[in-house]
Parts: sequence; structure tokens; C-alpha cells
Amino acid sequence: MSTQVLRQTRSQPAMAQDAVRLLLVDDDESNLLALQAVLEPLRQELVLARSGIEALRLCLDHDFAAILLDVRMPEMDGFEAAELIRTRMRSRHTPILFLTGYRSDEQLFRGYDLGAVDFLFKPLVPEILQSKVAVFVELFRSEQLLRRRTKALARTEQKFRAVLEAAPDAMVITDEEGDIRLANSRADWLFGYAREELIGVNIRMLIPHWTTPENGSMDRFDGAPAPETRLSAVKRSGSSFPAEITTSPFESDEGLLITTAIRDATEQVEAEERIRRINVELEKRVAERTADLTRSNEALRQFAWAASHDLQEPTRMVLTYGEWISRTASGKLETHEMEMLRCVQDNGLRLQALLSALRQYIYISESGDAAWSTVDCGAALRNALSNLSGKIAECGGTVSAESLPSIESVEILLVQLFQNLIGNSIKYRSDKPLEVRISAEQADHGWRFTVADNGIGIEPQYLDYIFGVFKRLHGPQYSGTGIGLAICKAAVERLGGTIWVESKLGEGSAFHFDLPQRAR
Amino acid sequence: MNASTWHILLIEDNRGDVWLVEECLRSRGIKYRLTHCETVDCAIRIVESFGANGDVPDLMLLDYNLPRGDALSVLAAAIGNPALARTPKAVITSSVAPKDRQDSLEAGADAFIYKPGDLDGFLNEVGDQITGLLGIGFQTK
Repeated sequence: MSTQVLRQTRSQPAMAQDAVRLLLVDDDESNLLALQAVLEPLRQELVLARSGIEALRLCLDHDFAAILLDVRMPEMDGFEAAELIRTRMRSRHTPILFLTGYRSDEQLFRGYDLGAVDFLFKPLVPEILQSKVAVFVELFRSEQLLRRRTKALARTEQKFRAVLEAAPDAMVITDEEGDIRLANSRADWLFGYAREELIGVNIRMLIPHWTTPENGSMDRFDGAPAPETRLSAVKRSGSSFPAEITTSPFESDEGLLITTAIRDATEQVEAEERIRRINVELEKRVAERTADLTRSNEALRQFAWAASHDLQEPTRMVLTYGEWISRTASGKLETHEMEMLRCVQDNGLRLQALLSALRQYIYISESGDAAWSTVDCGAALRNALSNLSGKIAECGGTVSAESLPSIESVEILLVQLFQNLIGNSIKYRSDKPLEVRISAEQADHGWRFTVADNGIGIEPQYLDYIFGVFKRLHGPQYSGTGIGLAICKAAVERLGGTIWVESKLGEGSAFHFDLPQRAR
Repeated sequence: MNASTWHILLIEDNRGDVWLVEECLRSRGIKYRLTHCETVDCAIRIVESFGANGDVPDLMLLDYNLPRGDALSVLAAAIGNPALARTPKAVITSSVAPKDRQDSLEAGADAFIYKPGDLDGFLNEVGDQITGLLGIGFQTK
């Protein structure tokens, strides 16, 4: 029945968004209607009850901002109802306004005794009723707000505690002086104290060199984590351990508080020490190895140098005396003996050529950085072509070149490079008239040069092999020392570049080399 | 001392080259007398033994690559002996390293003779240099 009324009231003037409930209790329907009419402009939810019992029942289910209670009602009068309403937990503090036709002191005393906040005398003056009720509506709203805020605060506090407890680090909150206000269970565990023992003592008992963070870090909410410092921490047992410490201050009602997070860094320190030791050992080994390599490199270099130079002398003797004998013995030796002598001489010549090539290779590999300058690659190519002009004319080949750039380089090495590559093309030409094309295109940090020919080409499995020292693919039908391309590789590497070849057997080869624009 | 017989001091460890030098002289009809030694120690002893009125050589030929020591120390000893002041001193080598030539000339050599790798080249080049240093260039061939 009452709910019906409730719905009816809802269809009346629109309620305020944050409407609160008001309970109107009167056994007289017309009085209720009159109350309703007076209070409607407040735009609150008006709940009507026609008896004390009904009022009690509604109080069980709802919170009311105020109860307007008729004193004189059959069965249970207003005072009895008020007494019962007061006994209910939910409505213990709900303001009750009694409505009465009599001004009797006895009634007033009894009413105030029962917790009435006011008496309203009939006939009611609508403005007074309205403004009084409005005060209670406002009061209720403020109270509600306060309650919500308190709840939210409690939740935040709860969250804060949960975070504190769940933190993997020991967390200690202190005041500016370092006196401990709060510690989490990790702190108890890490330092070996019971929590009560920690509260109130100074944090320097745990971390002797603890310092208040600088003021500069106070307003730092740039998202960057507070910087870590490593300090020594002391357990209850007196043993100390290295700890990573971060401190961050925050303003609170109790003044400036400082959160100190403490992490046991023993393992980390040990790991660091291990890494340091390993690094030292590693560096020592690298240094030893480097020294070994330097020694063996130097030994190899000296050996190569000595071999190429010292072998020259006996080779010269073999050749010179071979010639001398062939001159003096001419006519005295049998034909096959002369051929044998010729064989000695031929091999002497070959040995001489190899030694000369080896010396050249060593010279190129070891040429210093002294001769770096701006080199016109076109001019370097023309130099190389002029050195090869006889051979080119002899084989009737054509060499064409695009315009080449100027780069920071060593001219003598570039000339050597072009000369050896084009010389190679001439040597390994096919039956077709030789064509060599030289070009350059811009590449990463420099230029990619290409010397392409239409010669016999190279089988794919030998594309790397041919750049080795004394590596040759052909027998005596092609003369050569097997060092020309090794010299090219040494020269390109000397110039800070790389060289490689693309080739198809029978269709020609294209040697590419990348050179930097500038000296490295 | 017969003026037409030249006294040549040859410091050379390679017997083949000794013969070749001799062939240079012989083939040009130069009469010569050879003082020959093969090591640095021996060479220094000989060089220091020459006195002012002694049998000083008309030409000293010093191989640059001698076993057991530095050919330039022989050159220094020769320059240090006043008795050899008028003796031309030539370093002879098959080395093409520019540094060897430079070091030799800086140490006071009068000439740096390169040994070519072929018979005719050797006879021509070394022969020409020897006659030039002896001041008998007109006798060439």
C-alpha cells in the first residue's frame, strides 16, 4: 500500500537528482496530502506512512533524511513510534520532527527526551515547515558525502597498506628526522625485528648512513624512479649487509614523511664482484692473446719479408750461373742436357717472379697511411691503362670507362688495383674480342666500383679462393704468379673497403669493390 | 806497387758474386789483385790494419748483406781509418729497398751498386761502376 503511494509521489514534480527520502507519518490522509503538498517543492522523495507500525517497517528498509511524525495516532502514538524508531540501528540518529496540535510542556519534554529535534505545531505554516525540512535535507546530504569520503579514504588506506605489504622490498616510513612510523613485514623479516620494536626507533639503527632526501626531489613527479644508493644496513643480530636504498618524501597531515625502500643487495654485490673478477681475467687473457697474436704476426711478417728478400739472392745466383753455363757450354752439351739447363733457368725465372710478386704484396699490405689524399679515380685508371697499353694493344681489346669520382684514398694503391684487375681481364680473356667496362656508383658511405669483362669467367666454387695468396685456377697456359688478386684484396682492405667477384663461367666476370668516400 | 794492377778489397760472402765481380774486371781487361774476406769481423780487422804507407786498396766493394753483423760498421771502420781516405768505398747489394741505399750513402759510401738479376746486366752494371770508381772509364769494353 505504501509503495503505491511512493510511486504516485514519484509521478509528481520531478525529483532532484540527488533526492533524499523524507518519511511523513500521519493517520489522517488529508493531513498527509497537505504535508505532501507543502514539501513537494523541495523535490525530494516523499515516503508516506499512515501508522506508527508502517513507519517502523519503512525505517527498516530505508535511510531517511528526516521523519515527520504525527504525535496523536491510534494504536501507536508518535512517541511510542519514535521510541521504537530510535531502538533500530539504522534509524538511531534520524532526525525526528513531531507534529502536534497541542503546546504542552509535558509533551515537549517527552518528545525531546526521545530524541526529537523539533516540534511543529498545527496548523502548520508551510514556509516554516519547508525551510526546517530543507535544513535536514541539507544536513543529511552533507552527512552522506562525509560518509562516502570516509569510506573512500579507508579504501585508499587499505590499498596503501596492501601495496606496502606486497612490496618485494622492505619499506619503512619515517618522519624527517628518521623516526620510524610504519614498516612492512618485509622490513621485520629483513632486519629480524618484531614490528612493534621498529615503530618509534630511528631508521639509522637499521641504516647508519641514512640521510633525509634532498629537497630538490620533493616535487619530483616526473615519473622517474628515485635514484638508488647503496648503503650498509645492520640486522638485529649485528651483522651488516649491502642494501640498495631508495627514498622518496611526501607531504602528509603529519608533516613531511619519507618512504625508504630497502633491498638486500648481497647477491647483487657478489654477482658484481664475480663479473668484475671475470672481466679482469678476460681482459688479461685478451691482452695475452693479443700479445701472442702480435708476436706471431710480427714473426710471420718478418718471415715473409725475409723469405721474399733473402730468397732473391740465391735465385739470382741460379739464374745468373744458369745463363753463364748455357753460354760457355753451348755446343758442348747434348740437346737434352741443354733442355734440362733451360728447365733450371725457367724455374729460376718463375721463382724470381713469385718473389717479386710476394714483395709487392707485402709492400701493399704494409703501406702506411702517409699517402692519403684526394684521388681522381679517373686519373688513377688512366695511369693503370697507360701501364697496360702494350698488352691491351697486343690482344686488341677495348677498355671503356664511365666518369669516375674523386675520393680520399691512396693513389698508388688505386692504380695498382685497376692495373691488376684489368690485367686479370686481359690474361683470362676468351676467344671473343676482349671488352672491359669500368664504372662507379654511389654506395653506402662511398662508391662501388666495378671492373667487368667478357672473359672466360670463374666457376662459382672458386669465387673466394681466387683472392688468396698464390692461389691459381690455371696451369702454365695462363702465366701468372697467383698473387695479383691477393694484392687487389690487400689494397682494397688497406683503403678501408671490400672486394668480391660475380661471375658466370664462359660469360665473363665482374669484380666489385666498395671504397669509402673519406679515409677512416 | 804497379800502377796498372789495381788492388781491390772485396768484402763478399757469396762465392758466386766474387766470381762475377772478377769476371767484370777480367772481361774488361783490368789487371787486379783481390783482397777478399767474407765476414764483418774479418773485414773490420783488415780495414783497420791498413797503414799510411802500406798496401792500401784502390777500391773497396762492400756487400750490404753480410752474415753476422752490420755491413755499415765495416764502412764506418774504413772511413775511420785515414789511410783509406782516398779509397773509394762502394756498397754493393741486390736489395731494392730504398732505405738500404739511403742508409749506405748517409754512412759515407761513395757509391751504391745494385746487382742486377741477370748475367749481362750484372757484368755491365757492376763493371761500369767499378771502372767509374777506379777512374778508368775509358777502358770500358
